[in-house]
Amino acid sequence: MEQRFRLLASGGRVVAEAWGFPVQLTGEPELCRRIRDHLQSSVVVLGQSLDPHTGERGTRLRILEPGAPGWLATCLARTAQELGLHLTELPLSGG
Amino acid sequence: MVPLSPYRSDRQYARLETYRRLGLADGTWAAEQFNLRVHVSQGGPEGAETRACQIWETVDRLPLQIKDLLRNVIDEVRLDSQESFPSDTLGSWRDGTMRINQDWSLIPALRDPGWHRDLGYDLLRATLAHETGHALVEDPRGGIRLRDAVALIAASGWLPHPLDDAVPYGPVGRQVSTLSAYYLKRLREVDSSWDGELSLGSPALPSSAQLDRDVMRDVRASTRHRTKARGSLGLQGSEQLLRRLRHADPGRLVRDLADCGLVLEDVDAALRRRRGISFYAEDAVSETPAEIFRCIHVPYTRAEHSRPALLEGERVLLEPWRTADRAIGARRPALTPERPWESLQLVRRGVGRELGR
Repeated sequence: MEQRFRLLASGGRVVAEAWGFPVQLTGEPELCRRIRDHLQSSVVVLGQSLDPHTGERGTRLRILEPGAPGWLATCLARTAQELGLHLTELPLSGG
Repeated sequence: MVPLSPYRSDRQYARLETYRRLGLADGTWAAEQFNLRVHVSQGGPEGAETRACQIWETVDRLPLQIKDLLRNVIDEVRLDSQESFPSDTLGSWRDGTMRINQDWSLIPALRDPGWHRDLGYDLLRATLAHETGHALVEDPRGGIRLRDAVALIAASGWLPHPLDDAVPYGPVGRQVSTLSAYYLKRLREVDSSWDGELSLGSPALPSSAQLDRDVMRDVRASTRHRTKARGSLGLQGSEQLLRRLRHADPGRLVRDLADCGLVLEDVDAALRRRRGISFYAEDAVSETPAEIFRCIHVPYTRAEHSRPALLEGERVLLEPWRTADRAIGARRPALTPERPWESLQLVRRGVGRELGR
C-alpha cells in the first residue's frame, strides 16, 4: 500500500494526486507543474537531540532529503498552504 | 477547577531596545527582566557576539507566557560553543538551565544558501519555545500532572499496533479522556509509582527517559542503556504506525485484524482521528508535550495538522496560566533602569551581583 495524497480546491474538487518516489503526479497540468517545483529540495524539520553520555535532551536540526519518510507529506503540506489547497491522505484501504 | 499557574508573572517586561538605548549590556536586560544568570562561552567563532545579540532579540519577541516561564522557571541561560553539544543540536534544557548553541554557523545544513533568510530566526524561536515547554511540563518545582501529560500523548495520535492491543481502536479510543485513562491504567500496571496526580517533574516519579521506555515501542539505544525494561504500552506515533501498516501484506493484515475483532477501516479511522503534531513530537512521548507547547506559541513547520493535540494543549498548558492572568489582573509596569528605586531593590536582592555592580 503506497502513501497517496490528494490536493483539493475549495468545494472539495480534486485537482491533483501525488504518490511514491520519484513522485508521481496526476491532475491539472499547470498545477502539477507548480507542485513539482516544490518537490525538488530537502526540507528542514526539528527533532530530538540526546547526549548518550549525560542524557541531556535538546533540539536538533533534521534535514529530510527527497524520498525520506515524511518528506513528501511535509513538502505537500507546505505546497498546499502556499497554493491555497487542502491536502488529504488517502486511507489504507485505498479510498 | 483549573489550578492557577505558578509561573504567571505580575509585571510587564521592558524592551531590550530600552536597555540598548541607555548603553546597557544585553545581559543586564536578561538579568533584570528575567532573573536570569547569563553565561557566554569565550572563544567562539567569528560572529558569536552577533549571534548572542540575535538570541536576546528573539527572546524579546517571544510570547508573554514564554517570557513568564523564562523569568520564573529558568535560572540560567548559557550560550555555549558547538563542541559542547551533540551534532546539529540547537539548544537544550535541564534543571533550570537552558543552553543555546551559539555557533549555528557551524551546522552544515544552515550553510545552504537556498534556505530563506529568516530560517535561523525561526529555528531559534522554535528552540526557545520548545525547551521552555519542557520547563513548564517537567520542572521539579511545578510541572503539569502526569495525568495531563498522558492526555497530551493520547491526543497526539500515539497508538499501539492494532494486533498488539485492539482496545484503543474500539470505543475507548474515541475520546481523548477515555483513551488517556486507559493508557494511565496500563502505565500503572507497568509501575505503580506512575501516579497521575503527581507532577511529571516530581522526584517521586520515574524519569522522563523511563516514561519513554514504559510507553513507547521503539526507544533509542542510549535511552535503553539508562532505563529498565519492565513491559511497555508499545505506543507508536501515527506516522510511524501508518508506515508500518502500509508495508504489511494487505490480505494478511485484514485477516489478522479480523482475528482481533477489527476491520481495516476502523483501524484507519482511529489512526487519522488524531495525528502527530510534528516529527519532533513523534521522536519520543517525552517530547510531545513540549512540542505541543511550541506549536501553540510558535508554529514553525506548516505540516502541523493535529487539532486534538492543540486543543488538549490549550487546556493543559495554557488555561492555568490564562486563569491566573485573569485572577491576578493587570500587570505592574516593567522594571527598567529608568525606574531607579526598583533597580535598587534588585541590587539588594542580589541580582546586581550578576550585573557586576
